[in-house]
Amino acid sequence: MIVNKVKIDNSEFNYDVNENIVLLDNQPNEIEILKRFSNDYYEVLINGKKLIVGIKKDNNQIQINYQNRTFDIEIIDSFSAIKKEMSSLSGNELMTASVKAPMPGLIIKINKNINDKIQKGETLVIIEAMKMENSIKSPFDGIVKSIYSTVGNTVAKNDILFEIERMNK
Amino acid sequence: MIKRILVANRGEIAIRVIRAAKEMGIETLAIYHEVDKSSHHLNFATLTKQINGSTPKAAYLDINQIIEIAKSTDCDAIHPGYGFLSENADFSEACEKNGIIFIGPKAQSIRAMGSKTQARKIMFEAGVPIVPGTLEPINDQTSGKKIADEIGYPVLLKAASGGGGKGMRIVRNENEFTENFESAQREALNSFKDDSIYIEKLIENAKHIEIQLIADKHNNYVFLGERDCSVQRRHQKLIEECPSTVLDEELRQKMGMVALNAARAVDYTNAGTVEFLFDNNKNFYFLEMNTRLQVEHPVTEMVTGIDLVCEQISVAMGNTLSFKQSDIQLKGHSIECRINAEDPYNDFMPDIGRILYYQEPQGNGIRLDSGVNLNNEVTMYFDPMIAKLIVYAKDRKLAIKKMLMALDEFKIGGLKTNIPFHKAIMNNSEFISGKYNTNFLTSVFDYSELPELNFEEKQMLAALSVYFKENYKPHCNTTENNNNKFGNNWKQSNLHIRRLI
Repeated sequence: MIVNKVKIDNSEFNYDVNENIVLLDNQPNEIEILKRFSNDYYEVLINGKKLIVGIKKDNNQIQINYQNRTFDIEIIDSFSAIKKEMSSLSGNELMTASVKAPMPGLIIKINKNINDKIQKGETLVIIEAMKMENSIKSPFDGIVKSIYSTVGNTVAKNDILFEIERMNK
Repeated sequence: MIKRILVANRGEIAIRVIRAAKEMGIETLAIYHEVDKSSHHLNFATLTKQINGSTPKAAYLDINQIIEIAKSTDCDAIHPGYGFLSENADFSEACEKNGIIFIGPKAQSIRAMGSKTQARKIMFEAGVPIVPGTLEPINDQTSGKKIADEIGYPVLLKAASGGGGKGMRIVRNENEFTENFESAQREALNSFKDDSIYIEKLIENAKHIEIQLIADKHNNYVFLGERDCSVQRRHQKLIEECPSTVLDEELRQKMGMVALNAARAVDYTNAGTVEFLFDNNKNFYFLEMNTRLQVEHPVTEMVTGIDLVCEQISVAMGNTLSFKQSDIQLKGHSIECRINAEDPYNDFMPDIGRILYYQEPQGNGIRLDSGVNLNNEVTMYFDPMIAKLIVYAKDRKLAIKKMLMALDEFKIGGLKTNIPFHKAIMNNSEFISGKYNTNFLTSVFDYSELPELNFEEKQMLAALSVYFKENYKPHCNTTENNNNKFGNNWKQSNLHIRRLI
C-alpha cells in the first residue's frame, strides 16, 4: 500500500490529516494559525508552541522560512506517489545537469572549455557580485558539455551557466 | 557652522550620519541612484536627490556630480561614510576647492595612507613597527614572484590602494602565486582603479587589533581604546569587540601612543583607525591606517560613551575636541555582529531579494544600526551588509549572552542571512575564551557547529507543511469571501482562527 509521506531535511514521516490535526507517524500535531503577516508570513501555534514562519507552496513542494533559514519540504500523497513510481519505472535517469548562477553578477573568468574534464569541487567560473568574487564549483565529476556564459557578461539568478555530463562510475 | 550636510553614502551608515546631524540641529541631503529610490536611508534625510551613473556604484563614486549637487542644494559639508569616496583624496580636495567642508581628513593625509606602500615607508621612518615585505608597489607578475620567493612563503598579496580586504590573497607556496596574483590584480583594479600590489610576510595566528583615534584642527590627538576584529572571513571583518581580551592597560597605552604617532606623521585630522597585527608574543605591527569612520565604530562608542560621528562633525567645523586623553575610559564590554545577506549553509553565497518579514531585536544594551526595513529590496549592486547588531553589557560574558538573545530575536524573512552563523560563533568555546585570532574561521571554527533542526522542529515544520498543502488553495477567484481574514486563497472550512488581526 502507498501512504502519504512528507520529507524534510533527510527525515521522512507518514502523514494523515484530520481538520487541524496532522498525524505524523501516528503522532498527532495540533495546528492553529494565529496571524497572517504580509508576504506569506504567519504566526502559528503547533502543539502549544508559537512559531513565525514564511510559507510558499509550489505543487507538492512547500518552502518554509524558519529561524532565518529556508527549508524545502516535499509532500508525496498517494496520488503523486503513484505518478512518481510510474515515471521512475521508465528508467530515464538524468545524465546531464546544468550549473546555474546562484546570484546575479558579472562573469569574471571561465576556467573550463567544452569537453574538458572537471572534478567535483573544481571551479568552473568566477562571478562577481556584491563587490566580491565568488567561485562557482562543479557539483560532481564530469565533462563540460556546453557553456552558456561569456566573460564580461552579466547573468541573472538561476541562469544556466554550464551543462555537465556526469562521469560514469 | 555647518547648516546642511550632503551624505555621500547609502544604507545604515547614511542613516547613522543623518541621525548625528539631526541631533546637532543640522539638515541633511541624502543622494540615491535609481536602484535605491525606495531604500530605507532616504526616509531619514531632510532632502533627497537622485544621482546618475553608468552603474549604481559609479553614481556614488562620481565626484563632480556629487560636488555639483552639494553646491546647488546649499550643502556646506559632505560626510562620505565608509567605502565609496570615503578614502578618496581627490574627493577631499574637490570639497576644499569648492568651499565645502569634507568631514574627514585632508587630501594629503588620505594620499599618504591610501598608498599602502607609501604608508609603510612613512611608518617605517616614524619608527612604527611594520610587517616585513615590500616598500614599493608591484605591477608585474615576474618581479612580484621574485620578491615573494625572497620573503619566503606564506605571503600576503594586497592591493596597494586597497582596504576592506578587497584584492587580498594568501599565497602558501610558489605554485599558487600566479593565479592569486592575477585574481588580486583584477579585484584591485575593479575596486580601486589601480592594480598595483604589495607583498608582505604572512604573520599567522595573529590577532587583528586596531586603535580608534580622533584629532581636531588644533593639534589635539586622542585615542579611544582598541577594537579586536579578528573574526574575519576572506579578510572581511564579521565580529568586532571592545575591549580586547589580550590587552592590559600598559599595552593599550603603548599601542595608543604608537597609533597617535602614526597619525601625527601624516598630519591627520578627524576620526581614523590604525590597524595592527598582534602576535602570540604580544608584538604588534602596523597594518594600515583607515582614514575614515569605520563600520565597527559603534563598539567604541558604547564603551567610551562618545558619539564619534557628532565629534567628527564638530571637529570638521573647527571646534576643539570635547574631551582630553585623560577623560577616556573603557567601561563595560561591547560586541558587534555584521549582519550580511549571505548563506552560511552554502559557502556564504550572497543572497538578494525582498525582505518579506522583519523583526528587530530590542532591549537594554541592544543597539541596531540597520539600513533595511520590511519590504526593502536587497540588490546585487552593493555590499551584502544590511545591518549591524551591537550589544553592550558590564562584562564580556554577559555581552555574549545578550548577543545570543538579540540574534535570536532578530528575524529577517525572504533573504538568507548570516545570523545562524553568528549564533554558532557566540556559542563557540574558542570565541568565548577570547583567545581566537584571524585563523579562527579558516582553521578553528567547525562549520558543522551551525545550528541544525532538531527532531521536534522537523516534526513541527513537516506538520505545518502538510496542513498548508491541505488548506491552501491558490486563487479561488471568489469575491464573496472578502470577510475571510486569510484572503481568498483559503478554504474557509478548514481554518481555525483564534484571534483576528
